[in-house]
Amino acid sequence: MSSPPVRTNWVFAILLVVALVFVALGRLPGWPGFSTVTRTGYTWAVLLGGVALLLGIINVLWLHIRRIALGQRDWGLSLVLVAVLVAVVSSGLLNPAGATSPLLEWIFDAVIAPGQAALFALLVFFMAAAAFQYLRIGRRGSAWLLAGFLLILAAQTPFISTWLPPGSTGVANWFLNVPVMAALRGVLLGGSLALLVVGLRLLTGRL
Amino acid sequence: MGATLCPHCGTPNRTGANFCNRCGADLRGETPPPVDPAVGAAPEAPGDAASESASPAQPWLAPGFLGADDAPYADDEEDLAALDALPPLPAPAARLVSGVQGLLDPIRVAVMPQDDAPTSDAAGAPELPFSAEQLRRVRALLVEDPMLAPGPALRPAPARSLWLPVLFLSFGLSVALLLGSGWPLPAGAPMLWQGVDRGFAAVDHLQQGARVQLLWAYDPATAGEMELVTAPVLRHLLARDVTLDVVSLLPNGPATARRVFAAVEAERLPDLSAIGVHRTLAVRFLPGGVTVLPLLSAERADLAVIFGAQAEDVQQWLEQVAPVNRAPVLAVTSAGADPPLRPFLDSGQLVGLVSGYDGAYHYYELLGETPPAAVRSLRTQLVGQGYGALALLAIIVLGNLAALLTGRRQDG
Repeated sequence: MSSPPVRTNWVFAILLVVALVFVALGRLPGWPGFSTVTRTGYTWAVLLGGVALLLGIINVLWLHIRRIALGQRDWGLSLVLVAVLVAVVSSGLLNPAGATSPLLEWIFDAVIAPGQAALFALLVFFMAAAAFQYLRIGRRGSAWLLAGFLLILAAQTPFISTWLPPGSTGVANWFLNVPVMAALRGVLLGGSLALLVVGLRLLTGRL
Repeated sequence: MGATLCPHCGTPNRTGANFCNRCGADLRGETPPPVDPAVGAAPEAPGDAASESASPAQPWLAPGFLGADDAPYADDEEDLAALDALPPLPAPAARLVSGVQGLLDPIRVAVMPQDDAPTSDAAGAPELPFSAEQLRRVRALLVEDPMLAPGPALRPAPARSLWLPVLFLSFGLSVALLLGSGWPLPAGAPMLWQGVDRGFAAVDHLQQGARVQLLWAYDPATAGEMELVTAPVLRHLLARDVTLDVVSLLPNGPATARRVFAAVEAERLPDLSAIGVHRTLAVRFLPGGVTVLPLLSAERADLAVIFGAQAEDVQQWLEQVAPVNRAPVLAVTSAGADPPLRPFLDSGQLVGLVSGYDGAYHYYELLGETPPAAVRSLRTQLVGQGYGALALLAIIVLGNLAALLTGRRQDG
């Protein structure tokens, strides 16, 4: 089967070249004019980000109002979402203090912050359950992972590390500083290069 | 208007369609004769149409292919008439993405008889070659919905054991109770990682009124750890009486920053009254995410401090801002972000790295004025974290021992 013909999006390609030129010249000393232009571009990006945030809020609101109006599944949760959104926005808009109004601060401290923290804390249980499921001697390749996991975790936990034989902490640190760090740098480098290549392919229409 | 029959499922599709609207089969390269409803001519058998272009990716296009759910194609006029006689499917609701509907027909639960009688509709249409029970079982296997397939053939899945989460919760509650009761649990000394002392020196060398860029890059989800790490560094910055430019790319970043500033300043009230300074914290929120980060590179600074729970937050600053404004960067992060950031500390791109409770503890030690409340919080977190790690170790070791002793192995 023949591959489909490459269709280069010339608008994207021209934008890519222009952006590259401006970013590169903006970083070089002695080109103050270009830095002014790039700064203006970034200011536009801030405005676009604000508009995108507003559009996102309107989209969420519209979506959930429709769910409530049509009585779709879990419409009650949508009702709670809309009510909270209206309460938070109005508490900020109606108070002269704006985003620092006491009610808004209280909502943040008493509702949003503990709620997000509680959801994030569940991640620990997921990770523990995943480790328990995968780190088995009988599984292919996981015995090595298991040995490394036990060594590193024991050596890095303060009062557990005192129970280990002398020298084992040094071994664990060597593993962290040499092979793990090498692999990590490889991952960082590979990820960055892959991102660059994918971005270029996308902009030139070859993806 | 004519239509193109799908060689896989027989569904009439719009002429010129690339993929079947029902099963997603590739219709490109297929030239089945269009169906003209006005004439009502019987379509060619789909196997014949597909015989020349069956690919390995779509083996069902090959002639004579029999699948696991081998619903015979409507290969003669009688079966096509039977299909046509079925009541029409309800019109689908409007979709954001149309035409992507998987390989299964919509489940016609409403027209399924409740016994093993052959399928037919109320209008007396010809019988289909499947019984209702057969259809129900096949669909239940494919959609994994046990409600559609009652019967002895499909055993219900055994109840999942909850002993693991119960064990975790019990252990966590026990540790919390012991900590709350003031029982002296062994905590051990925090680990001393490289980078804390260098970070402390970078802040300590700032002159009065020096300009410090402060990126607030964590949200309440990670505030439990980050606020304890942030507090000593922020305390040190306030003690140096520097000019802070606080920026956040997160919508809830300003509120998080104000809360931590209020807590730190409450601890330092005697000091603040001594120097006679009343601070009003202004935190800038920049919407647009990392895209607008280079905007900060045009601002001169003597030091940049990143309060971020993710390594990417620091990495993006090092890529987008630090090479332009040349301000040294101190990273204050969670323990999880520490390993990916070590290379940046070793290469000199970071002047300091303070991470996790261990980093906060040693920063307080360098500061020499550790408040008792902060020590209590750090000790609580350290003990809890340590016993959590111990519980994880114990569960994994015991689980492996149990698997070895009982001879149960799982191949990955």
